[in-house]
Amino acid sequence: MNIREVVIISGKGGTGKTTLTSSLASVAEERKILADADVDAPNLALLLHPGESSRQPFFGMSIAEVYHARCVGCGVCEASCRYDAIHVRDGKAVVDEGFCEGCRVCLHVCPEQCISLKNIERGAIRRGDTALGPLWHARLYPGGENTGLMVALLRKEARKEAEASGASLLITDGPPGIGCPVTSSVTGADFAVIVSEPSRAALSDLRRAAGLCGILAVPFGIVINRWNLSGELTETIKETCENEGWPVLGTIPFEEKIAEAVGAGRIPTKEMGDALPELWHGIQKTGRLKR
Amino acid sequence: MKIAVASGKGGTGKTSISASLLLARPQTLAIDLDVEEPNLSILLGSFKGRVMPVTMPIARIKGSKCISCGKCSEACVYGAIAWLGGGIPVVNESLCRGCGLCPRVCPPEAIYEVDQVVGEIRSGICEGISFLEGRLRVGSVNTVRVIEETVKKAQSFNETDWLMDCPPGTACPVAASLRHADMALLVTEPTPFGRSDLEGMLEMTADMRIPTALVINKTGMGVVSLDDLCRRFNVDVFASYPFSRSAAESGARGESPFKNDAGWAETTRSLWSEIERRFS
Repeated sequence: MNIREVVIISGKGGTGKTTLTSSLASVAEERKILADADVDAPNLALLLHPGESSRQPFFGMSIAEVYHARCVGCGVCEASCRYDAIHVRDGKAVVDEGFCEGCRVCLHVCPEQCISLKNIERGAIRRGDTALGPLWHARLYPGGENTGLMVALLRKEARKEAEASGASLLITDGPPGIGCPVTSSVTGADFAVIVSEPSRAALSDLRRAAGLCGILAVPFGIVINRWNLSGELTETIKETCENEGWPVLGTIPFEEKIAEAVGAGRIPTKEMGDALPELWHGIQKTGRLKR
Repeated sequence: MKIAVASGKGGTGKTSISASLLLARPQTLAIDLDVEEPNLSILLGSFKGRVMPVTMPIARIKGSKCISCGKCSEACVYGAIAWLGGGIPVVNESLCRGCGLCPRVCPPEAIYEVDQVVGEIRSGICEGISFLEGRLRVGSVNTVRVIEETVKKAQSFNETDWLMDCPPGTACPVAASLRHADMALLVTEPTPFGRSDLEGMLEMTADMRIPTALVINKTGMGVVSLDDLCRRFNVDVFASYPFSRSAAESGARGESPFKNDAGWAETTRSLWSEIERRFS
């Protein structure tokens, strides 16, 4: 079974990834699975309203734990930790759980052998049914590590269900930025849609997101959202895309009725009008998403 | 005072409000810690200064010394050293996190480390404001490393007043930034997405015990109430910026609305007075 996966990213946050993901999903006729890979600020469920059907805890890497009865506070662990995640306080080594990467250097260097590893629950992965198909979403507990690993697991679950259920399409709402969770969302996808907007900041971020897709060898195209907030900068973005050879998949205007629909927790399918199915067909064609 | 401007949700206006606060108090050290997408210099104005690399140690194996015991591959929790039961192991540099464990476990000391560039720090002046920016190299995933090196650089300046423009989200890059803050200013918007991500941020600043206040941006764009969150986390709203198309347009062009919107500038000044009244 050949499943095609499209991931929606942006570089800059707040350009409209989630709104676009839900809208595209609402007009895509294929049997599909949805995934929200923005695991530390997930919002797709706020528009898709899934029923709760399963929850699995996410642990990530195990982290260091100090057995205080044996710790002499020598500080060898602190001096060896490259992540600034263990400090001697009041004569005992204390692990900063938010920063420990579980590398085990401290276990190796501790002369008292009083450090071991423990698992901590860092979040949960959930699955729920929605009117548009099953949604895989997750929540990393605030301050957590291992977003990349969590995204990889989430996508694996979504693909597994796609395979088992005969769905032909996986639509993934990606995170902002270009770091771990984005790399983990884009790696191995068939096509990436980069949502931009007419601002100098978004253009700078678009270049970085496009650079990442290039490094990961994932083909991509660009959607310019809220294009009418600056016709001039929209032209600048289009020119940049043309010069770089990046396909512009379409533009979406800033309209209050779209913002109002999202504000009321609704997918703005109707508000986007006929341009929306056209945009989806363009993405399908450029991204070769049809089997 | 070291102020962190954060948000949870992206695009709520962290950078616009950071730039406005800095333009109103140009003696504050500006630090852009949104290293994956640094945009503060675009809104502040032309950057002049120097660029320094941020590096991270990566393991290398000296084949002539290697005894093919496989201990390095067994020890690496990131799966960055492949060994097929014979021959010299191979380091996958994109998975290596530079923890330094493999050189310690290698019996013949055949593993050494080389510095790999994972990003850069820009240090200089923007519009008369002392400015520092971390910038992750495209393709690198070492966001936290670049943030921490940028903060170290800031510490070397011995300035008492900082304004840190933080990354979006609620994961480790934000925690790495907030760790150095005396107070957090959370910029949100009255929409369902803004509210949901703000809740995660409020849990995080409460966990980290950082005094926190809210700035509501784009009021009028949404009607979602944040009152119950303010009560639950015991935080106050220090300023509200109404949604204005002209502010959005000037921000889009890379001009801070502080310079050409009188109402915006006035709100920024009263935000500073509120910060001082409550936290100084």
